[in-house]
Amino acid sequence: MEDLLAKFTTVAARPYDWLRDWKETHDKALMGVSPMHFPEEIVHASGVQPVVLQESDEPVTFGHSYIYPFYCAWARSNLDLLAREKLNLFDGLLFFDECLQTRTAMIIARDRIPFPYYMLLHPPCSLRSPSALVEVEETYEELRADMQQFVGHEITDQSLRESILLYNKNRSVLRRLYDLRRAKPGVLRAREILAIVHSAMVMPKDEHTELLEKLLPQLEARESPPDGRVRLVLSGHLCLAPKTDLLDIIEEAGGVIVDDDLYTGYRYFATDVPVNGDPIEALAKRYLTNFPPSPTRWDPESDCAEYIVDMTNKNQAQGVIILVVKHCEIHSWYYVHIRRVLMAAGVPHLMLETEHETVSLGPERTRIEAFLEMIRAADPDQ
Amino acid sequence: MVAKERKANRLKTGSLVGQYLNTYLEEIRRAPQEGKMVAYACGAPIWFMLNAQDIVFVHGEGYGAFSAARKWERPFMEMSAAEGISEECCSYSRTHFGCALMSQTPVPPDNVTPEALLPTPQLAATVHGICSTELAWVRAFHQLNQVPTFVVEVPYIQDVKDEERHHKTTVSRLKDFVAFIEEVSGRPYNWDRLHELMTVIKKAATLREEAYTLGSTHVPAPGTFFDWGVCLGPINYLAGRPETVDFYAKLKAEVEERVAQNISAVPDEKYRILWEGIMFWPKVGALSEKFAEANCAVIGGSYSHLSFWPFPDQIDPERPLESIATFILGSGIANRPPEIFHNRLIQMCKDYSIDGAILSVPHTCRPLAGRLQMVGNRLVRELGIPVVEFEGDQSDINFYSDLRTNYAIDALLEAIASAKKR
Repeated sequence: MEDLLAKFTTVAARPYDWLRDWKETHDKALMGVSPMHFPEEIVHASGVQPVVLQESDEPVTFGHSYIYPFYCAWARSNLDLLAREKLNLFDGLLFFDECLQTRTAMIIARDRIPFPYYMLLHPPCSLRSPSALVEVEETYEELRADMQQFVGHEITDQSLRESILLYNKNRSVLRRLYDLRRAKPGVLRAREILAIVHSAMVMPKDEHTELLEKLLPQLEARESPPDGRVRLVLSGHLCLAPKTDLLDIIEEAGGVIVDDDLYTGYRYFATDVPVNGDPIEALAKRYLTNFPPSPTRWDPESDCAEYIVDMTNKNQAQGVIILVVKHCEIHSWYYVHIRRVLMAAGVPHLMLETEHETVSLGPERTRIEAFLEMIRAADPDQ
Repeated sequence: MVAKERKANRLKTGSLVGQYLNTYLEEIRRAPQEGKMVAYACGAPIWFMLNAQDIVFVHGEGYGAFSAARKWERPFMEMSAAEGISEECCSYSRTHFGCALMSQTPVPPDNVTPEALLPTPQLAATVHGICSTELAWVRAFHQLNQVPTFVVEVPYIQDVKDEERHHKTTVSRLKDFVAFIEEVSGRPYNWDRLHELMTVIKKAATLREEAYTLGSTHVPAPGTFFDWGVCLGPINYLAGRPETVDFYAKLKAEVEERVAQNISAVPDEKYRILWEGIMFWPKVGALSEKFAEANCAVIGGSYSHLSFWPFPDQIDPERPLESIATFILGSGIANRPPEIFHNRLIQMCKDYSIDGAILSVPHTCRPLAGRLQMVGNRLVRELGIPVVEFEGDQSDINFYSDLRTNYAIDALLEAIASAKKR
């Protein structure tokens, strides 16, 4: 088991080193894709390997010649990596118009940093408008056409269905992992769970699925960890993986994460693409109606705050820790509503703002410890 | 103590803008008593479409701007911070939202000017083009006040060959917006009124464009960015009203008179500067004076000249939705590849005899800040003019420093003087 976990951790810690090695033995192009809603299956069906671009743990240096320090960590980190030629392992970069910061990063990159291939995917963000389905399908067909031109051959509906099946399979094993964590909180450390999800965004899906399918029976056979820790839901941190040190602090303070709606978490694999019917239509419908609610989309019929409350209740969690990436305006604004809803529902919560340039986690440790003490003090069983 | 005489010779017409704002605010305050709906709206100023249906609107960005100019904004921003909104978020949005929260408390605090408060909205809307924060901001009202909310999405034009298709899509979305207005108001849309408003907008925009062009090309400049920025008020808040035609006619007449008599906005004009980016509203007067003392005429840039119905010949009052679609696609500074926008700026620099450029970097306006380094590079590369960055913010004074600004002005003028000697 330790060997398997080490494999996931290695990929998550040094994704691009791992991919460089992988590329040497595989004759496949690599495309970096931006978070959070990119239809990777379309890229995969072309024969190109999509990889979700991540925040690096290196400080931003050259990047600030291209983008100001008051942009989000994802935008700054990736422009920095581009500027320092650390993304040269990719044959192209595909951006999803998630918010003004992803779009700005793409516009700046395309204008100032030569790279073999750039593309911005811009489907509507209003998920319930009457023309949304048609518009999303049109956007996805444009992506298909662009990828066909890139690779020089057709992307058939059959190849799309095969990619969807492959991705659905990986999502299902990741959901098994999360079901296991819900049943046995602490069966793995939070940083290990994160590494497994993070590596799924990097590795080819069949390789990742194979490794995880080997790991799961071993985890299922593990004893349930002892009770007594504060059960927590972890929420937010759009587009980026939280720092593992922060997860360690939560656990050292006596908390255990029972579920999450993180992008580098449940959000990435929560739902499948339907396998029947037209594959482009199926991908479009998943985007419009079957993703977990997202602050970056406009959907008056869904509510991220209610989603968090629901998750908390289902898991009998005692509190929620909400991670907001600094300079992420979309999430910061949504937090106003989340805060009110959680307070009205009587769900204790703590909001932490995270930064790319983390100097010290001392204040966060104090706040997390105080939060957990507060929960324990209010719980007669603790 | 004798007050120091101001050196900046501001256009007199600009001092009338306050009256227009007061009219606009008064209408908003009266709306509940008059049985009119109030909308909170953000993004490109297409909200006269609501006026056509006799719905009054509060333009979020505009509200943030003139709150800062009138020094109302600080308590509202503090209120937003207390609700959990990061101070890194758009300062316009924090002002507007904080004001809305305060307006909905039974007894607002003493440090809030009563005339700044707003009635509760019955609907909310945004144009979602260059700025996703506007979506988040308007959604916050949707969540706070449980009001019907509409998002007019504007496509990003990656290739000009897609322009016609995206234009059709935008018109279609505007039609959906009209259907939304009909639904919330409970009556058919008043297309006649929209045609009337568009006719007036065309006249006002034409006069404005003529005034700004004349005022910016003539040497010495009869007006500066601090005049042009302030004079955007009427076309933004009162678009379609006959009084806006009067206002811009007056403005044009004053500019023409100054040109005829060679009266300049900056006595002893020595330098002509492009100001690329948003205005720092709390500092309009102070910056106007500072530049005048340095013999610098700040001519303007895309914010003053390219953002608010800049191409009146593209307005066809008989085809209002098509005209509005053209406006919000064309004015979207980040809605199309940057080369188009850069080319326009280069031409402005040539037309307006620009010696140097300021990039005004607003800490909390990421859509407008993001392109500035690209612009600066292009200006230096193609025109060889000195460029400096001014750090600040559109309405949050905490991000502005007089000391930094003074250094930047000194550096710019030294660089221009040196370039002129070569």
